[in-house]
Amino acid sequence: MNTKPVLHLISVMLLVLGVAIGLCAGIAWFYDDPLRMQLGLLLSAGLVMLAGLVMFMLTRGPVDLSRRDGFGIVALGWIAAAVAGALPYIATGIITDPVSAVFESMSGFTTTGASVLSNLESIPYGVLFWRALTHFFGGMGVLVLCVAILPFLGVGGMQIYRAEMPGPSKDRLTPRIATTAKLLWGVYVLLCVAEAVLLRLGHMSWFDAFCHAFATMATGGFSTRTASVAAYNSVYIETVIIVFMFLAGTNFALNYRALRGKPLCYFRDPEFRFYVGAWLTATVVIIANIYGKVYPSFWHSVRAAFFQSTSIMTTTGFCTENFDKWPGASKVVLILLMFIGGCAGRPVAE
Amino acid sequence: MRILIIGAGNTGRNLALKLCEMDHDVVIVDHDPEQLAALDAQLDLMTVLGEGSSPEVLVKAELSKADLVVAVTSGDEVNILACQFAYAAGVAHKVARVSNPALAHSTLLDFKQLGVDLMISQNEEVSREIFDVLRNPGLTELTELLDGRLVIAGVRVKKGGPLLKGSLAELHAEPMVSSARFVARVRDEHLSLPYGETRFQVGDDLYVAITPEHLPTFLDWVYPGRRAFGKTVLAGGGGLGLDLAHRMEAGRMPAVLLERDAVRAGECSESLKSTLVLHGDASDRETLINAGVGDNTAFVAITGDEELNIIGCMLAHKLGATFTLAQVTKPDYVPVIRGLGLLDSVVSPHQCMVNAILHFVRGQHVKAAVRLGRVPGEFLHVAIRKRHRWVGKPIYKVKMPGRCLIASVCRDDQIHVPTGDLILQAGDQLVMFALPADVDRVDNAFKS
Repeated sequence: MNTKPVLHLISVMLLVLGVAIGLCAGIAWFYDDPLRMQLGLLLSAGLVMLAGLVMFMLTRGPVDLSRRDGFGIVALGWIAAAVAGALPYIATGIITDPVSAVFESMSGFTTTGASVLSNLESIPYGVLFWRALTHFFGGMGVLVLCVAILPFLGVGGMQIYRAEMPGPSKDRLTPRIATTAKLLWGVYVLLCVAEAVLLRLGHMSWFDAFCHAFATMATGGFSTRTASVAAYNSVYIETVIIVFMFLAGTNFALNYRALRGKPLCYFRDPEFRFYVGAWLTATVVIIANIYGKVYPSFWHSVRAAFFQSTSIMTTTGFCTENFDKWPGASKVVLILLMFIGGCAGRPVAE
Repeated sequence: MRILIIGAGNTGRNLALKLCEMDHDVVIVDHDPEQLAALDAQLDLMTVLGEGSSPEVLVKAELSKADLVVAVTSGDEVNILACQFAYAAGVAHKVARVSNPALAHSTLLDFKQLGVDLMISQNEEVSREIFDVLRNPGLTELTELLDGRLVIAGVRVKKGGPLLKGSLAELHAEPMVSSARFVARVRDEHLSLPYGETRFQVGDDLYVAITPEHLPTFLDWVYPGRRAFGKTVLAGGGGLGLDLAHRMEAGRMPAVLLERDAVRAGECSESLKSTLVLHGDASDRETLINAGVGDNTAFVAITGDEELNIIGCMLAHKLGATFTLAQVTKPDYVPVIRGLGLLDSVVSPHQCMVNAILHFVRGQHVKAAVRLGRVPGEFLHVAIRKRHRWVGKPIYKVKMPGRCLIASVCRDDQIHVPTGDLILQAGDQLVMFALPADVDRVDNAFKS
């Protein structure tokens, strides 16, 4: 492994994350979080940026990456991101145990969505926003973002992209990997913003709307409410989230083509057809299974089944119902859906 | 520039490699998924699986977005058809490779009107290049520029040769040298631009820009006692070998053709008049001795098997051949072979395709762009516009855009050796030689 260029790229990633933590400090200031929170975020932003800057200066030189280096960057990059991402939790004192803080941060970046935090309503805005941002970056991959924005990577960018994007993703949108990465990030950001605006129209606050949009598009599932999406109890919000969870689970190359005015391309794709088929079948089975047994109302069963099956299938993990109380057949269907997951070429989503 | 390459064979792969190096957007189409996977793993390009002559596949490769289409599959018809589709889709430049030379010279059909801007018979180009080298003993490489009015010739510094006498400035006092312009020196795989104080060493590969008329006398001076090869042994009777044998016959140069396949050897024998055709293996010592490899012979290995070519050349060298040349397609091999120091020359068959499309890649103001097989860097044929900042300046006062030099000045169809006090005029045709990193800067300096 060529240590120098590998560390160089990780330093760039740290700089990006440092700026993002700085943004959270700004949010904390805007929403008037306790001063300790603001300073904690500012301090961690400074530390991450400083680390990034020092590393950047020490490892300057030609960036010539082989395929091995691509794997090296991705493996080290995720670890570095998780450690840097844990700083804000520790510095603000929201999570005091370093292991738990790294857990929370890693869960965010990998869009796993498992959390050590319990009472989310008591957590200040700045930290909650950082938690959502880890999803946002992890969703499309902060390293893919680096590939998109760093012009000098060339072939190296391809090595990183290849190591970062799992699965049989053959969908290059353009000859150059950097342009493809830019387009995919563009689609991702566009969908995030669109969802946030739609959620806002459903009377969510801007803050909640963006946090939920990040969590949906990354298929992560960190909410700003302890009760998750159930806290809003709104059919509109649930519908919006269902639609965007579904889009987040599809191949982003397809989303891009659809946005370019070819919506029919979805149905020409065999993987997508299977994805839709599995989703609809499973939902219908669950509705038949829970209607009357768990919920007396048919519409309530439909709403619960659709939301839960989409959330589980795309591995987002938002909840509106306690499906622990559902009959065994439904649970088995949900578990099967979890195995199917989304399509290839979608945001990293476990 | 977005370039669509059709065919991921040896040539397609090498083109892709060069074009990616030059930072172009490359899309490559082939029907062999393994070839594509190998390319995809190595280069930053997009691959499309399918037949190059299928409109469906070409649409998938976004044909209409391409600025240049290069069709280099093994099928002539596929290549021509692909270019015609490209023409219909409004692609600006279309280049097709053909293996049948008759197609390239066809008077029955004007392929330009059918959408093929340039049709290249690769075998013919390579064979002409090898023939030129064989006709001028001592040369390692030869490329034409300015429609044949100038050549770039490669020579190797030999022990006791006159090139070792002094620095380049001192050598220029010789009348033989004053007609030539030294443009590049390659020593241990390192390319540099020679200046007045540069001194040469044994084993250096030098490149000079010179007119074809002056070339023989220059070579006579570089290699005292130089004489024509008594015999040339050609190993490999494929399309290229046969074409070369025909040229040798036309030039009245004695040649022996070796071919491994008995049937093909028979075909070659029927097609040739005076050339002796032997059925045998080029890596077999006995065969080479029977073919007459020995003192004052040249050995040219151009079979499709490059390892065989190299081994054959090494054997011939041991047997005392004066000059050995091997066709090598894998770019990775070239520096290794040079390092061995056993082969005099290496020919890469895809080089002529690269040169053919470089011109389109460089843009309108560059009349031709040429790369040599073994030297990084590029020759650019450009014209000095009116009001260009170089007009009216003597060459020594011109500030060069990066590491480059003026290899030749052509004024009113006359070639001038670019000495320092030559004053440049509007309308002068220049041949610039630039190191790889600075080609773009030179290119930009002449953009209008």
